[in-house]
Amino acid sequence: MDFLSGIHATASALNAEKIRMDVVAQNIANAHTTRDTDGKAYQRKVVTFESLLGPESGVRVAEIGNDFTAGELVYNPQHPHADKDGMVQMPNVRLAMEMVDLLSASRAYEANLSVARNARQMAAKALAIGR
Amino acid sequence: MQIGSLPIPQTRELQALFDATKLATPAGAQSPAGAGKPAFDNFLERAISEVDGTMKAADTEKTKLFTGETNNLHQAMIAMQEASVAFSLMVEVRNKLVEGYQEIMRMQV
Repeated sequence: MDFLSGIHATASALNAEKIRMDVVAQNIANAHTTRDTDGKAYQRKVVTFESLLGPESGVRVAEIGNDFTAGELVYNPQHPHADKDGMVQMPNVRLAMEMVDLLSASRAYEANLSVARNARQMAAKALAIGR
Repeated sequence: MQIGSLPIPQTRELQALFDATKLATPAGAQSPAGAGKPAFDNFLERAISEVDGTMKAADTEKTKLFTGETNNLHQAMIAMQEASVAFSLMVEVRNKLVEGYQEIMRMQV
């Protein structure tokens, strides 16, 4: 029995937004990482969503991909990762953009929470019919 | 019951109602599932076990969260909300049942 209609789609959306938030946290944490696991500068991660249809409706994270745009080249000969010209390849993370992403993920999470709250309120109102 | 013998006009309707209920439940249907129809107590039992299921689901989600198996706070909260709504529904049904019983007990004979 589905006591709270639409709650499963909302739950999947909350899950997806949470993963998006985690990825933004990872990007901000690595905003100055000049050496990733592949030996190059860190590339910011981007989450893509895809919708689910059928009985298990909702949304899920399709993949967490890399943003391949080049980062800044900074002249800093003291840096251990500087090349022979003294240039350091910085990550392509821009903090302002990440903050915008963070805000948008947070607001989307809130929107889904209010759907959950409303579903509950509707059920409570329906239960109040008999009183 | 000899309702038909009373000289009040309304009793004729009552008698009709009484006959109708007698028709609806055949004499052979002593067992609840006799007529192939789901009996009310079966329905109630199923509903209660369903409510119990939602509460157990909420409990597993809670345990998973506390033991660190998942970190989905919202999943646990939603499961608990669902259990709460299901339980309220069950309480509401029980209130109606008791109300109906008391209504019958208060009936003047």
